Amino acid sequence: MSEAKQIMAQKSAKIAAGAVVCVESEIRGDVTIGARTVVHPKARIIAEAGPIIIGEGNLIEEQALIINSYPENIMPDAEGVEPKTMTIGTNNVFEVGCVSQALKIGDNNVIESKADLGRNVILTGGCIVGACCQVNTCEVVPENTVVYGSSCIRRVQSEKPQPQTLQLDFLMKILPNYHHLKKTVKGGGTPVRN
Amino acid sequence: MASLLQPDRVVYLVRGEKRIRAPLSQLYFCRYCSELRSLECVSHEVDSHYCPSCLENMPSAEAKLKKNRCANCFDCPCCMHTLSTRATNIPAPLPDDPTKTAMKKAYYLACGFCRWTSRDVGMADKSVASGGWQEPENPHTQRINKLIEYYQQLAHREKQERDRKKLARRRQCMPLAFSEKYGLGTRLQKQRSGAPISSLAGLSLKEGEDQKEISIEPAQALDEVEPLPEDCYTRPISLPEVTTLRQRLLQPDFQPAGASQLHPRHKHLLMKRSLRCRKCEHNLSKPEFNPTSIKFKIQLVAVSYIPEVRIMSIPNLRYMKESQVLLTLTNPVENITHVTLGACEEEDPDDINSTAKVIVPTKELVLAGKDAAAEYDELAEPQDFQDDPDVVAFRKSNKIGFFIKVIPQKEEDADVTVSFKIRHDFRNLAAPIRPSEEAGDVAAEAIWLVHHVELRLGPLAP
Amino acid sequence: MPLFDGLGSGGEKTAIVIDLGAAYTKCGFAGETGPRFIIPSEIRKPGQQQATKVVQYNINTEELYVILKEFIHILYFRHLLVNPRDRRVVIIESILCPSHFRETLTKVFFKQFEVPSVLFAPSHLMAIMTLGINSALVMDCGHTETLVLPVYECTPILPAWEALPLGGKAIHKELDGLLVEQCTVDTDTTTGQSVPAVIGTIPEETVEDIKVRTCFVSDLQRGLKIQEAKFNLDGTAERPAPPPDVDYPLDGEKILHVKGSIRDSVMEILFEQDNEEKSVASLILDALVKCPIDTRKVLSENLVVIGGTAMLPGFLHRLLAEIRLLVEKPKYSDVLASKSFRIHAPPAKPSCTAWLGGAIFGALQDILGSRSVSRDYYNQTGRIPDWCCLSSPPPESLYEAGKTPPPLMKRAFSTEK
Repeated sequence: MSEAKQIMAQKSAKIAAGAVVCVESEIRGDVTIGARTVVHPKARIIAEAGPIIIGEGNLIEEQALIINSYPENIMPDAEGVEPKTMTIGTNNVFEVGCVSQALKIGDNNVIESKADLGRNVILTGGCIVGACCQVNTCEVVPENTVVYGSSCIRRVQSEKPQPQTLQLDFLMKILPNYHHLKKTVKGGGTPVRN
Repeated sequence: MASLLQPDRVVYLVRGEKRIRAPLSQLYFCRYCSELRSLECVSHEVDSHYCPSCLENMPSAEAKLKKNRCANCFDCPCCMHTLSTRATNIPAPLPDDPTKTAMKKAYYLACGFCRWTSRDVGMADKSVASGGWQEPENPHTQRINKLIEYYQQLAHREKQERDRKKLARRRQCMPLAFSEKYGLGTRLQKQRSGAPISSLAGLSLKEGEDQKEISIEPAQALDEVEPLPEDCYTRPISLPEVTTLRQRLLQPDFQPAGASQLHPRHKHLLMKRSLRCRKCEHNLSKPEFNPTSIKFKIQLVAVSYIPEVRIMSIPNLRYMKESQVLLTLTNPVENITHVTLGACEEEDPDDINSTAKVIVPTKELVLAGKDAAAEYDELAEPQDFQDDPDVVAFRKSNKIGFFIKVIPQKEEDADVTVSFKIRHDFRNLAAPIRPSEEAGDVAAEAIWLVHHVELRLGPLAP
Repeated sequence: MPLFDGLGSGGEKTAIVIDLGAAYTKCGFAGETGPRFIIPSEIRKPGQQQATKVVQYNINTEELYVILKEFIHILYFRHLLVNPRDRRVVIIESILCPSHFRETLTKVFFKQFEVPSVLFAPSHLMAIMTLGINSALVMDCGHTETLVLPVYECTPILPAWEALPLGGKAIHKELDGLLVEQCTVDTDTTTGQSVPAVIGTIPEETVEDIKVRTCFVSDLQRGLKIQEAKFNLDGTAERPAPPPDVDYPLDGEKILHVKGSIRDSVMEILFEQDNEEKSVASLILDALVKCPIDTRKVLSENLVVIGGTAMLPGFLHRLLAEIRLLVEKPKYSDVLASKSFRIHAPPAKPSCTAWLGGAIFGALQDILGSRSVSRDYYNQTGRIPDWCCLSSPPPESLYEAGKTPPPLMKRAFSTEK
């Protein structure tokens, strides 16, 4: 699943066997998607400045944007810029319209609608970033933190959010009936139609 | 152009205890006093209570009992959102056969906004969806009740002394005056006064008072107070575990410092208000009982009785030059209304804001009645009012547009303000119908009302 | 349900008890064990971001009238949900409240809301009603100031009052200064920025939140060392190890690093002795000195501390230790014979104790009416009785004109109008 060593050579997506990735989604660059992950149409996963590795059981909804981009003040072709890998763990949920640039996301997190994660945040596990919250700090967010409210207040909850297994199963059954799926591509080129 | 229709452009003067200027849409009209009333010169009363989330009406007796809180809905102690009840299935042993387990439904409260759940504070899941959740009780309740009983006894005694003195008409000594506001109880008077007064008769109960003397144990003062725990100086605090001041103040009895002690409270009710004229004590506005209904049982708003003036268009206003401003006048009632405009006199006490001279049409303006069916009735012929084209610009069902001439008098940056008086006839349909009415239309007596109107026309053209 | 919740004796409705503090207002019903609501004493006008404080003593009467009217309207119709005309009002006030504020407040209640009667109850006196004792030395640590007033046998000893403007407001100011000076803010792109560069001034609510959640009062030994280190000019005194720093997220993007040394040193301003050697603890001893000799022992063994600032963790312990230290000084030890100090624990949180006393008094329906100022009296005379104004007659003229006034000794201790 993770072949991050061949970063420079690979420019295409690697989609594991059990993943459901709709063809209307936009996947650019070196992206690896694990099994049982569902990527809705109109989701965008863009690996500009380095590869993105997405784990298993994730749910990426419409208009979500997961982007590994260059920091604002660095030119794309500047020397000495090392491509950093963005890692996303298992059982995460990226709700509609969220934007995630965080380089490291753990397991069982929920990024709610229209939330905005900056590049320097690191989500550990069980975190919930509330709707419309912009979390842009340079820190490691402790486990089981809930960020909510217009001023991004935080609190700690006692248990992790449940993995969306029911939803994932349902989607994996239904989505292929209505959308063509992307399959993994060997050595570049356009994705093969199902 | 929409800014000309803003409500605060045209204000009416309300003559009450204070002179208040407010747009007509915010005023009420008392048709028994035949005067305009504003929100400040009416008395507000609580009409009915209801819960904002379940929209259930609560009778006032029950509201008083439940301390104005809903029985079913809860507020999240963390973010004050409404809590929702969720259910899970947990395996629980069957009552008959302890070895077998069956799935039982367990309910817990959860907040959709901050993801707080009742399990975070250790509240066990309940087996019923509603009615199982209790708020914690204040541990000091008993002591406070005892204190109240004790002081009530002293107060009762003082009242009896006072009543007895009034009857006996004895000369009162000065010290009693001291205890008027700041002293407490009869015991106090006894101890403070040096001079012998009749109330010095001892603490013993007399004259058939049959209650037992309740004595209270005075509070004991402590020698030592608990110090701060040692680890307070060294332990790093985790901010999400400490409650904020706002969260603490939601529970005044406990004010917990730790987030694990924040218990949910029942949701506070809201109320519907009714308004009452202070002079004649009639209701001006009374809402309906049903929380979901937005109608009113009684709604005496000014816009449905008084003709409304609105600004339609303003030309460029220049200092000391006469310009013509187009205004509209709308008739809210169903019968024909006659309106006369008058300029304000010199030295009019109401006329404090106007910065321009105004020349209003002298003729009487006639407004047609409001007829809701008129637009659908094609055969009706339009009534002919013989309008003077210099005065009346257009006429449309119950509305007319008319011109006034404005001469700005001050060359300041402030808005040009004009004011004039509007005099119209008002038929008081609230008057009781006399038994000797004839068949046909009963013309209720028309009285003439005068209102002072101020218009804010905007700045001078540069 | 306790009896006092429904109709009282004689069918009169329960009175309303309001404690208008400078920072927070406690409101509720008489006879209950705690206020229904504690809300900030401010109103928000539509379209304005900044809230207007209600308890202001420096604005003119008209504006104050409008603000108070709005606030009391919200109290009645959003929080208490009762008709103003039906219920008597008990207002807990500080005895140092300016007369014009009091008069405007009364005018709002009587003219605008038409309440049947109003009773102004002093907070210190009400505090001892919650304990069932008759004498105590009451200290009210509030937002604007700390006020000490001894009460002996249910009468306040007015000449012995002591006050200092050290309260929540002073702590906020000091904390704000320290935060701006010493702390850094991390934003998304940079770390270690100074506070004014990133956010300008810290809003008052944030300062209050930092005070409540992170700060505490050290015990006596530690506190003295911190003070020494602060004032020591040649830097020889060593400060005890500060508590750990706190990362306080300001919003989703900025984090304020609150230094540990601020957490325990900001409260020292309450106990530092200024040039006149006054601190919060010395107020109590100064008040004791002013009291008559035979009352001192009783008062020193019955200390009561109320007010929101007294709820800081570690405050009471430190206060008691400071008093015991200060009493050894020659200034006090020569004068005060008894050196034993004991402190009470009222059956309510310190911020609500005065309110609770008012609620207990308000539940005494037999005498509440006779001790209040009724609407008729106010309409007749146009003013309310005030302890500092000798010209208004008492509500019920119980004494006949022409009688000789009482000897002066009594007047010193009484609260004659």
